[in-house]
Amino acid sequence: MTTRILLIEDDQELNELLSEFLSLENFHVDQAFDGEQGLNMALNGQYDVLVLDIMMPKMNGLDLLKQFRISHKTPVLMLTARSDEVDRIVGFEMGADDYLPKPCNPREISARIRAILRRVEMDKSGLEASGKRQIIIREDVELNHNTRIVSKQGETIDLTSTEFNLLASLLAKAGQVLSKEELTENALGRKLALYDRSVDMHMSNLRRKLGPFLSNEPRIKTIRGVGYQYVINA
Amino acid sequence: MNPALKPYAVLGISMSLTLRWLSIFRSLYWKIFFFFWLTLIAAIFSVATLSEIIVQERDQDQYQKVVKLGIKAADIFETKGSAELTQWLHYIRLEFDVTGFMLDAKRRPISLAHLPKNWLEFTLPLTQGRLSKRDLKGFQPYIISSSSDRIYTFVALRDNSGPYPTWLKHLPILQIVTALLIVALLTAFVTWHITDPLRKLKQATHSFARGNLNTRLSDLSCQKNDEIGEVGLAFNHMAERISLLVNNQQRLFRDISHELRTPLARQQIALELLARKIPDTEHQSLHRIEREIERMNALIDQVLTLLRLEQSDLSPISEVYDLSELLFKLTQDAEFETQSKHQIHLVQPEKNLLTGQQELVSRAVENILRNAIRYTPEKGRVFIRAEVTPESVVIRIEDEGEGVPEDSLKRLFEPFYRVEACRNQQSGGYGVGMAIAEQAIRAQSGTIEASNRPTGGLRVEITLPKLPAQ
Repeated sequence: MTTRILLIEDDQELNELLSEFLSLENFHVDQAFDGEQGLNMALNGQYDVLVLDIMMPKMNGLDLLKQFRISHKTPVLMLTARSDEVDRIVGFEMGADDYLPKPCNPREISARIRAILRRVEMDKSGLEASGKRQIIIREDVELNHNTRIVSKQGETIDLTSTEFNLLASLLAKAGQVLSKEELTENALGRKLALYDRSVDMHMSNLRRKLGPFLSNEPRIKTIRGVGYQYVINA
Repeated sequence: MNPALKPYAVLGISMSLTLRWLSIFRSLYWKIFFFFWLTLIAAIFSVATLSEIIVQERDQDQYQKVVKLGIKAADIFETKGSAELTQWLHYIRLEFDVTGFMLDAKRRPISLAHLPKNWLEFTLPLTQGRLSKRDLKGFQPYIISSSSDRIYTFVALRDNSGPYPTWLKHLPILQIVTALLIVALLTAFVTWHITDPLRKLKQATHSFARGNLNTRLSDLSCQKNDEIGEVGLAFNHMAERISLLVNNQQRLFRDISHELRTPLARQQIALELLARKIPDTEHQSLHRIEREIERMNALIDQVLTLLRLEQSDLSPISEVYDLSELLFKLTQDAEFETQSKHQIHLVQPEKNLLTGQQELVSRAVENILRNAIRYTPEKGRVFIRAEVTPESVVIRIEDEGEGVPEDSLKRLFEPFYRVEACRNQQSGGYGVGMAIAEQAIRAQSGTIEASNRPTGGLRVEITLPKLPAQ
């Protein structure tokens, strides 16, 4: 079965070149040239991954992502301008799964797409394999692998799939320190790159959504130079 | 030419003439001129008025005293006769210091006491202005009526040395103080009037010089139609023009950079497609092209970052962050990048909380650190030291390279500045990294300075103020 990709990119020539490249990489690529067209195709087609440019006329990538996420969980790889940190942070908040600064090496794009696919695969198989830890409960937080729902004190917390994976990894080894490498591989399905702050950004979103313990102690600690730790509340 | 326009033209000319005439009085020259003139007049006038009031006050006292004594003299004359009157007149001269003589209703002397040589003058009718003060020789006639309602003229010597009311003893001091006060008040007003707009102009110029291109003088300080107002308008005009030029230039820069990106992105993919169509043995050149594209991309990124910083249209989000953690991360990244070819020594406090924009500080330190590593020979050392003082945090980054000629130190933070003479060409100068560092630190109200270490190598010192948490 070939992987179906929807490429939403307003630059005509770049779109053509990129889809030619991705086709050579054995993906089936559909092209959309603006936000509106992209959203329509994304909502009506069956895609495995969306590759989404942020800066677009008519409807920008972030708005598209927001609307798309209301009903769909299809993984999204976003392409942001290199220096635009804000777009990246907002993108993750809207539920993007990974990002790539544009312009970038096309090999990197296909590598990221494969990483996302691997992770989705992992999520599925992991679920089937680990029948025992389908539900993790730690203090007031409950994480359900079946429904992929997290709740705190009975209230559902809306997490993106990457944030869910991060929390699952942390909770599974609560009290232990997980390195950034480990978390990147677990949650993003790829290797940690140089100057890669993706995990940190997802982590700060996750922290914000979870909030601290009732005692106002932080739930997730940053261990400088090592990684992150889910604190066992004494 | 349209004849209908003529009346307006005439009106325009006459109006402009009127305006020009009026503007003479608005000019600073005349303002100052009139001001000093008015001040002096006011001072002189007030001092004169003061003396006048005082003299009148005294004359009033004198008048009442003399009239009282005159009535008494008339009564004595009527009851006791001329001899007694003479006695009385002598008495009041000794006792009250009033020297005078009496005339009856027909202005004939009724006593011989104190008759002056010009006494005849007083026997003529006393019409206003007939007698000059000079003729009176200091004598002043007072018309009085006795208790039996008969009219007499009592002529008494004006007593200028008469006693002052007690509060008037300090008259000269009072005069000086009044004059000083009035001059001081008016001078303070005019000084403020002139210096206040100048002060505003100075502030605006400083602000503009610091790179705040949106600085303009408010209408209020330019409304004055004098020379200072004109300078203010000229400043605004200049600021407008310069900021327009700078903005245009920056926009051009930014547009070029953005536009270069798109073809580079396409090129990158096209190159990759090409790579799949030619045998692996030929890939060496392709890799070279790829590397060059990467380099161009990096340069465009830097230029865009610099422009963004220069325009300071950054999000003003301030956060509390741990500088120690940041420096640790940056050192780790640098160590990873240098692949143990250099030693990087980090000396800093365990925890170092700061308020500001972490991203900017990170970028600045990263750029300086990269340069330090680039110019340090293999196996050399790079030092990062962070020190905390009560008001600021100082970060020193030192390398073991060749340093920079003294005259180039200041220009190191200019974009694309190349240090002549030395520096391996391969490294391509300092690019925009140092300029970005400077702008990033300046955006945090910090300072950045480069100097040569006594033992060789470059030292860059960043000082960040400790801002109170918001």
